[in-house]
Amino acid sequence: MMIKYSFYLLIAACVVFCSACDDFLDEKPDSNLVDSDVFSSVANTEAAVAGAYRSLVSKEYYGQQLALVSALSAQELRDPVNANATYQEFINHNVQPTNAILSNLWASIYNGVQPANKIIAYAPDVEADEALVNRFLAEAHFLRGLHYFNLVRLFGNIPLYLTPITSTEEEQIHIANSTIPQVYEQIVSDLTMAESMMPADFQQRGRASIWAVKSLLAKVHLYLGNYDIAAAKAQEVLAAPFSLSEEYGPIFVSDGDPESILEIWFDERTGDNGIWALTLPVGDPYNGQGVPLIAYSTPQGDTLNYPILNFYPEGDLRKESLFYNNGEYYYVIKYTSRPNFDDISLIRLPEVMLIYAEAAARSAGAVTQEAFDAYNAVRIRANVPDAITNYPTVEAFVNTVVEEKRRELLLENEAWFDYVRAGKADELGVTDPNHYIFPIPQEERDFNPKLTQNPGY
Amino acid sequence: MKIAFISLMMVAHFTLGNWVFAQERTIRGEVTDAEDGQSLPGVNVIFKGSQQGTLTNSEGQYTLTLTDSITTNTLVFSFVGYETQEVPIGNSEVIDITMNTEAQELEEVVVVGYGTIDRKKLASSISSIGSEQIEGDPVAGLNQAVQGKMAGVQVTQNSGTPGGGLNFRIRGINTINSSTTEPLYVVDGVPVNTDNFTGINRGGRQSLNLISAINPADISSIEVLKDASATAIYGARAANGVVLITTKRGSNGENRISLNAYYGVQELPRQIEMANADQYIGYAQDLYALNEVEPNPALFDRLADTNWQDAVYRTAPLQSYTLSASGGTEKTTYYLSGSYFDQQGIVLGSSYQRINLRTNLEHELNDRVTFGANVNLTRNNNNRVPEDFGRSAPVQLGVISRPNIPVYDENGAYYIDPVFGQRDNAVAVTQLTQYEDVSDRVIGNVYADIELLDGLTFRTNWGVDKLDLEGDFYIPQVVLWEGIQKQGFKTLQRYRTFTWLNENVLTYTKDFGKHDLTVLVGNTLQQADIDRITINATTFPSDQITLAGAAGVYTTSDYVAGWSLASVFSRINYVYNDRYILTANYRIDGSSRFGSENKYANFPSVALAWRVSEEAFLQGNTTFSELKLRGSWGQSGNQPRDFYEALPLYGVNAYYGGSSGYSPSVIGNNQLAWETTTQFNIGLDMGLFDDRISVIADYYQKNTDDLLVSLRLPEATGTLFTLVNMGSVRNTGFEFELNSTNLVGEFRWNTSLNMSFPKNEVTSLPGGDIPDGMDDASHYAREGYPIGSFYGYIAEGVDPATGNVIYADVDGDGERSLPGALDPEDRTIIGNPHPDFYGGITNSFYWNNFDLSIQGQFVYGNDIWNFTRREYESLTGPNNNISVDALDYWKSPGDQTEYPKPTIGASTNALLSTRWIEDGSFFRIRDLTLGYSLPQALGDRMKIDNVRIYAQVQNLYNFTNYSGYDPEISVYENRGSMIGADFGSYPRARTFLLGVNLTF
Repeated sequence: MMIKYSFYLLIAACVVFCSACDDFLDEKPDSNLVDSDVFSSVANTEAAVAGAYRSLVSKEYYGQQLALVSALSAQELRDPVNANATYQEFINHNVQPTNAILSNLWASIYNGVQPANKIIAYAPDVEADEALVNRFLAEAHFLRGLHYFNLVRLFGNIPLYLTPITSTEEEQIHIANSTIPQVYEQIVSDLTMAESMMPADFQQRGRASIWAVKSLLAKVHLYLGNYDIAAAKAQEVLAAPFSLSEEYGPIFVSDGDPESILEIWFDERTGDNGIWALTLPVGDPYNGQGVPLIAYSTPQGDTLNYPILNFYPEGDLRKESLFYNNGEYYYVIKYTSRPNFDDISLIRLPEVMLIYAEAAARSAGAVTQEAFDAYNAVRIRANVPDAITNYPTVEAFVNTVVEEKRRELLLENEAWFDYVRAGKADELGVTDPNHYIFPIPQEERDFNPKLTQNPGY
Repeated sequence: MKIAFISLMMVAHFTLGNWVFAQERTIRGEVTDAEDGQSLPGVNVIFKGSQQGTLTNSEGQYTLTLTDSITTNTLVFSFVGYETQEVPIGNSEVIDITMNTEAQELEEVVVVGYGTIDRKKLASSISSIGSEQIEGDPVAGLNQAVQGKMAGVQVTQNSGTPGGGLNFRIRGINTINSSTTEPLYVVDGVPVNTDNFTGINRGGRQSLNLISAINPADISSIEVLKDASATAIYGARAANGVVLITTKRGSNGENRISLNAYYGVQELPRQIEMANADQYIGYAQDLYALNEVEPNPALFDRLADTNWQDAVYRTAPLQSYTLSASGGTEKTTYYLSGSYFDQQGIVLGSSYQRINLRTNLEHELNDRVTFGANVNLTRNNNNRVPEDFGRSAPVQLGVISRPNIPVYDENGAYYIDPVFGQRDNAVAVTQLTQYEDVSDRVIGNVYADIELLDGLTFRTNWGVDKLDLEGDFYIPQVVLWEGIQKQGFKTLQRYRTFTWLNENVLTYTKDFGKHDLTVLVGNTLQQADIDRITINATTFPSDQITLAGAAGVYTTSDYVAGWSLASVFSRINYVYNDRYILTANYRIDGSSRFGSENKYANFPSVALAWRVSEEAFLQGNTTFSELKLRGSWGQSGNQPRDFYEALPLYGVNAYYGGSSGYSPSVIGNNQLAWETTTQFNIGLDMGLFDDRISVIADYYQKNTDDLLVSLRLPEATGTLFTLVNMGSVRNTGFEFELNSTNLVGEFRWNTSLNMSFPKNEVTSLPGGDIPDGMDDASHYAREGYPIGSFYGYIAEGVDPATGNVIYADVDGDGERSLPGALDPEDRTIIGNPHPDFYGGITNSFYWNNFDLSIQGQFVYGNDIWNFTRREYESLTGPNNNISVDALDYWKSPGDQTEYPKPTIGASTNALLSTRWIEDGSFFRIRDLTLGYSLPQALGDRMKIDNVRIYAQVQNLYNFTNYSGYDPEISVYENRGSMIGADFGSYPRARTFLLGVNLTF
């Protein structure tokens, strides 16, 4: 009898109590925003778009490791003191699927994809004027195109994640490899969307603009061998209000140069640009960190075995700006401020000029005056004497342009990919064509059973 | 000795005799033991309500004189370990009595969730210890007080850091990596917040022991609820068991003031034998020669022969004082106490202080209404040193720093290693680094009991638990590498939580005929707010002002969160004819941490018990004084550690390009639910030979399903982990507690023994292996193996030809891991951190006023990852000193040795392998205590009720084959998936104490 009574009481208590409890138990997170809160407000969406750039500053991406991987692979940096085994794999073109830098790079680039996916999926529902929503979408498409472009050049057959992850269902989490053409198709589609949606007047330091989109589109088409489109896109950028800075060196320590099309913005709150820590020597005058990774060097000063120094002709002003000899080793001294919040250049005018030079020459089947002028402007700024004006073939000109690009863009993540593209990878010591792309990180394959390894690994 | 003591008593006797000589009437008699008839000397005999009386002499006889001034007509006989007796005097001249030994544990009242119960009527599995056991064992925190004393309860002191955290594991580990392994702590009815408070984290994972906010001297009992029938009433947080802490209260008419004080010194019990300067230099020279690398000659300079362990460790004092007053009148009772505890650590620069105040009051307003309050205020002050695997952790540096450099240079300044500039001077770290966490905690509740009808009472209880934790960390810009680099480095952290609770319980109790019924229903609401602010600052103008505002660069981060829990619960306890017992519980919990689809969960349990000893066929049986069979089944739950894993979230700290930025942080899971533990338990309570031997034994099986698992996703999803319910684990075990009164009479000897035989197995893990620990690969949760199994290569000794460690070709592909060519597929499960059994044994001896107890604690059959040894026996490079044993390293082809060739550069000799796994079994003589209670008569003359002085050695000796400082260690605390790892853990001290307990 008593038991029965108690149960009634319990049930009554439950009913009264639990109707109030749903509210009581609805603890809103105070330090985070729920997805629906983000995309119900223009200001929040704006912040989500800014946040989508954040992955670029990561030391495991543009902030350091992308430059490291490209520079080691392109034989521009060595590590004679520590002989770090992880670095040696890149220098020796024998990168293992377990290489830690590689898996970090994979992770940090993909880390930029999901924020872009969310904006692309949810921003169209934001109640704002169309131009603004289009700009949000354009930036997101640009970023996604950029990330996949970096991924396809590094890893080749990569999985395409194109929608927000909302659950742990198999089809959302475990995605199989796409082929390289499929990935490029996606990149072109993203960048074309960005081009069509980006307001022409949107210019903000550290952010994508119509010119950044067109520059990247030119570059992607160059990689695809669509030289006429590449030349056309590059030409549009060359017609835009950018001009070569007078001097080479200060470009990297000052912000907002006339030639910079897109720079990644570093300041106290994002943390430092990590490239200084990799390259600057210990002690005066640069006060770098620990034992740095050292540019082409030898204790005996035998520079002959290290062609990157000799790659710059006598009198090339860039050589003075880029290399520092502390009496023992040569160091690359590109980003030199301390503390180092120098912006990292992502695309600047000289690269577009050289893209144009190559693409225009190739599509015309001849070294046109415009192509030569574009190339020569870069040379003249560097004060390289005795320009050759007579090229026997387009190939010879292209070879010169690609080499010029390597000199111009040292530590700007280009030479390795560009040499592979231009069929010059053997000059960097690669013997196995399978090793033009890196292996899919083993760690990723451990957690995604659908991923296959690239051939030759 | 014995004779001297008896003489002392005789003197006391005669002195007292003289004093009471001119009396009118004499009463005499003899006191004997009820069981063996032996006479009992030293028994206190007084006139009730007075201080007048005597002690029995060595023949057990006494003589007293009754004067006019004595108004009472009753004699009180009391003696330690015996039941106090009151005997009316009447007209007797001779009063002989027999005394019974004090009640055994089986007759005690035990605290259960939302109530108390006579242990005889208990159908659940609960271990308990009382204040005597706690007071006899002076320790810093209540967890230590429990250690080794309860079956099924494994308390591991993760580190010897003063005020450092402990691990409390009840019946094994039933969660992997996303929830706590800690039980729920309930202090006087208030479930307290025991989230993992690490304070400022410097490389390690050591947390602060914040449950030590409770002074052990204030505790009257600790109950550990183990089976589901006991825990289910705490529902969603009870799967790891529940610890009920009840503090002392006063009682009517017994006003007393007590002082408990002790003082001691601590020392490092043993050092790890490391190479001296000459041996190290020899090693370094061999290292470079063998690897044909040009050395830095400065490395070979013999500037000193420093034993860094001598430099880092010290003999350190420990002291504690507790003053309490308790008592009351018929209507009002009180217990007040204040205490101060101060422990200097054996590592330079570490210390812990605690100040504690407690007030427990209760007032009976009228026949029907009683109310009261319990309030506890604590300040903890932890001065720590960086621990574990931090780059500048003095414990680690004390072992691996090279011995051929001095601590101080010729000018007395700290010597900075010119070769390894990033390696800090271990002594400088302890002296120059400021690393202080100050916490203030208030735990309190007010309650009222109202008797609505006969047998029907209503209780309402309101509690708060407030914690403010302030951390202050600073590395100066001199001597220490990080400080130099950053021009001073400061971290300030403020962490606050406020938790409030309300519970309302209706209890109906009724005895009718042979039926004995208790029914209880109630509800509870609990809600917490948490906030944290952290400031990191660098680039200071000088070390004089270290305010963040003075810094050149600083960053601030803050965090705000909250959780809530709403529940209803009920219990029926029914006893028929004192023999058949039924207990059933039901709780419904709602929690803010769960997915919208799974906000509420139900936790039922039922238990049955049969007191066989009450049956007619056992009446008159002289063997069994108590025999009870118990069985229970039920469910309880465990919540995720994180608060908002169910929701798809954006983080707000993705600042970029001069504006704030948001970026996705949590995928969310609207199905997120509890881990559910279904536990089945059978048990036996047995008292033999008039309860001289008592046994409580239990067998349990716990199946935990829907484990909360951080599922590792592909990196390409942009989120590394997401919380899901997946997989199962099973804990089974047998455990018993045995108490035996081996000898009675003048010389008494008691033994308590408890042992537990746990077994753990991951029974299902659909998402595949879950790696964890060192390099995310040292511990695995894998189907068919225990949680946190060790994972790595199998080392098969050193190749005499090359000097490299040979690793087994486990996958049989013909390839073994060699420098530059690892074969990760050769890794496998190589160790088990779970013990085969563990327990404790205490022997107590009483002779006259002396007491002696020896408490042993043991763990058997567990493995330990000795990552510390990996630092000094990998022989990879000149940075670390090596152990004396490792001097036998490979030197030339053909050498047969277990220590490989010293290497510089690529090496596989340090891989996570069986080389670093050791047997963690130990038997520790935890406490050896000798006490002496002053004879009552002497006490009387000093107006003191009771005086006991004692000397104690803690951690006297540890029998173990473990090569590190101490096998009772775990750097990754509170995470079931990575137990049993030693990496620079702060060693436990050996402590010598002197103490006194005084009661006025």
